[in-house]
Amino acid sequence: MSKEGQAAILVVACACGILMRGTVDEIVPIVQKHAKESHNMQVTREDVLSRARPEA
Amino acid sequence: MFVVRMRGDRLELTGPCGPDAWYIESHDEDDPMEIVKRLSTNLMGPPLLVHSTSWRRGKGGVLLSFLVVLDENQAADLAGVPITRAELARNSATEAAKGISANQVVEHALRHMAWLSQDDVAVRSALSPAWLAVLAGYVPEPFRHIG
Repeated sequence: MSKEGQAAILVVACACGILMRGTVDEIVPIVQKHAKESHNMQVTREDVLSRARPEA
Repeated sequence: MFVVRMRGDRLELTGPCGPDAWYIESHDEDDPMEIVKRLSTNLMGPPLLVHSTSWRRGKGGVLLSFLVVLDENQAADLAGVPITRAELARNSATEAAKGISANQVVEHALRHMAWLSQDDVAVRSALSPAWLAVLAGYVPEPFRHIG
């Protein structure tokens, strides 16, 4: 549960095992960068958010 | 891709996403070798050797396996695990194996390197004496369809 006034933190687990976290606005470019630089993949914002889960 | 380096007298598997198979997409307009070299260089520094060793069917298409060899002291921050020997996945003379593990793909890749180390002066020159000593224990294998 996020603290009042703070955006929720999301986590995305890449199939390679790398975990990435951030707010909605932070995590999309983080995942897109990892996908491009490490896997030569183009992923959309929708792709990222569909894999994102709230941080426990 | 399988990223391998020598540690002491043993080979170990490493990589930017952990010591495991590293999956990279290759699109219609891409040269797979160029993609492998570029991503390897960008994330770990220039490799000593890059070679395609086998292919197999996978989800969404063909999986082309590459072996990427790093210098022993390269990308020291990346975790590595020792490579263990494995039996190759085999089937009949006209059919590939029904299933294959990452260990078996690596085993074949190193057997292929054993062949190249004897047959290809460029490969032999790129590998250290320690590497050649380890490869001497592998039965040489050609590039092939493995599953």
